[in-house]
Amino acid sequence: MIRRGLFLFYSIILLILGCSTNAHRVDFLQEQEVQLASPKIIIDSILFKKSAKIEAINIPTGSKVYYTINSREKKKYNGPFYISETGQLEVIAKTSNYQSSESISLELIKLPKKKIEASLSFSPEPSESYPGNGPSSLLDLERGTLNFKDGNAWSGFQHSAIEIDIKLERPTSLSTVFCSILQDHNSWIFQPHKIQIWSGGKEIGNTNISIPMEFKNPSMNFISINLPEGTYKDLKVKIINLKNIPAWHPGAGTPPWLFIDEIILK
Amino acid sequence: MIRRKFISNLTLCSLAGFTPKGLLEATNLLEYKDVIIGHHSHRYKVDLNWGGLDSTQYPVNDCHEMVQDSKGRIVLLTNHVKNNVIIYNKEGQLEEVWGTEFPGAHGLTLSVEGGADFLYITDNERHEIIKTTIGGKVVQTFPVPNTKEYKEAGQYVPTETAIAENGDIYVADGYGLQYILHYNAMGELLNIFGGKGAGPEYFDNAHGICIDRRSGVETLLITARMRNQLKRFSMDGKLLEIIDLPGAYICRPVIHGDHVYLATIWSGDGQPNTGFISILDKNNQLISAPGGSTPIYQDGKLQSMFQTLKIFKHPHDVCIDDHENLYVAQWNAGKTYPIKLYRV
Repeated sequence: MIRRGLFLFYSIILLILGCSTNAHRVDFLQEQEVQLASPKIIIDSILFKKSAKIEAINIPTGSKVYYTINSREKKKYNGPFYISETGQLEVIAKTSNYQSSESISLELIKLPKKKIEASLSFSPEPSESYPGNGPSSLLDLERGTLNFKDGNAWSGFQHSAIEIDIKLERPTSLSTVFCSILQDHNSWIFQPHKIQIWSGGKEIGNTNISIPMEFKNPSMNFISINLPEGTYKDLKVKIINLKNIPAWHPGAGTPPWLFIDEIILK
Repeated sequence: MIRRKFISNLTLCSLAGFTPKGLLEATNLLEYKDVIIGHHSHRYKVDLNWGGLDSTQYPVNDCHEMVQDSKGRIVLLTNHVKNNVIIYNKEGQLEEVWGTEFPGAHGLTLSVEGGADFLYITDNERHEIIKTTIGGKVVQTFPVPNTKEYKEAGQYVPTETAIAENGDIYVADGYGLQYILHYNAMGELLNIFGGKGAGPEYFDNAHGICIDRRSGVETLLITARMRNQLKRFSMDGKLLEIIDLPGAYICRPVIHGDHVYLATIWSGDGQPNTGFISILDKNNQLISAPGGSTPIYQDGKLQSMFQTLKIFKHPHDVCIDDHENLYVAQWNAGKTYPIKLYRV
């Protein structure tokens, strides 16, 4: 009995020594440390007249997709659905074993019933690399995608300020200007610092956009500027860019890019 | 970060009746579960810490490519000129560094010639290929090709090389004019094919090239990255086959055994930080995509691939060691060191 006990004791000592001296320890990545990739959201038209169809694809295996509209009740995605009013759509993928995906946020805008006719001009002109489809394309209701290299919808600038002159075909009653701006920090594309609206030589509206203090996910954002209720014949949209990329970013100290694909007059 | 310590010789403990389960329960660690990525026969656990070094001493910018040398060591090429070549053992411990003159270090190919290891470094800032010994001594340089296609050095931005059995060298001008250049071992240009164009025989980002010897006859596998395709050419430049990999922006093909491994830098519609790894079987069917979606073929066509887990940012090359483990070098990944995947 004593010999069996001693044998067991020495075996355990040997095993512990073996484990501690020969072990090659590897810190394997744990499920709870990993984030799901975001699903891709397909929208037939972010700018719509009656309704927009929304579909989630590329859903990570085993995850469930949830969405909210204007931060109201969270709903489980069970297939394509429609929305019929202007609103902010948020979509996220979740599962029990991994971290939830980044939330995708998209603003969908219901268009006015009558299209507003106008001509536009840029000052300065966009970069030769990202010329877009000319200034009039900002009113064509054709959106770009999060992949700014895909097609020519985005006009890209690397200037401190961009002015867009809008000559309306006839005096028009307006209350809001929406500027569709891309944010893609991976690609050094930032939202502007400020947007001003001028008419008849006077500033009639503006909005400030806070400087991001950390990396933000790529998004296409409508920045709205309210105008005094009135009838307008000409507008100047003055976009004031960030002077330099913020200090936390690898591109700190260099001028950021600004990408715009649409201006909506409502 | 909370990590469970994995002890690789648990089997020894288990054999003696000293079960690891008890140990783990005692330390309340069972709730943690190792991530396993990939599909079918090719699934892996992930070690993000492999090869991590003191970045003030041994910095990296982009980790572009990796190979395993004849001694079993893992050789990394980075475009940081403090140490362009970093050599590890398989556990990720530093063995050696060298190289300060390769600012555009991009492609790394190992060739065993006369029993000795040689490296072919593709430098896309110097616009040339540099052949070195495994210790870093330069033995040959392939400058900008002197042909009518190239008017100036800036048009030639080579990304990869492949070395044939007879010593011939094939260069992919993946960021330049998209030609494939065929040299003999003396550095004489024998042929030039590919280039830019809409037809199937042309390239759009001919980022990688390798020699496929699996059938017993040498052919070239060449990446057409922006078209999500691999193209097979005869050694004299005739298009033989196109392998479609929709949604997979592949880097160079790496053949190990019967399989082709490809770091996939972007996926889906090409957005940043959406990479994964692609693994093709001997029939060139995608069978596993660590970090990506399950490969599905419908009517013989692969359905578009996409990233499912945010483990990789921009995989740029994959190296397979003699234990079937993978090492993933990444471009534009915050100056991080390579990731090791252990096959399970």
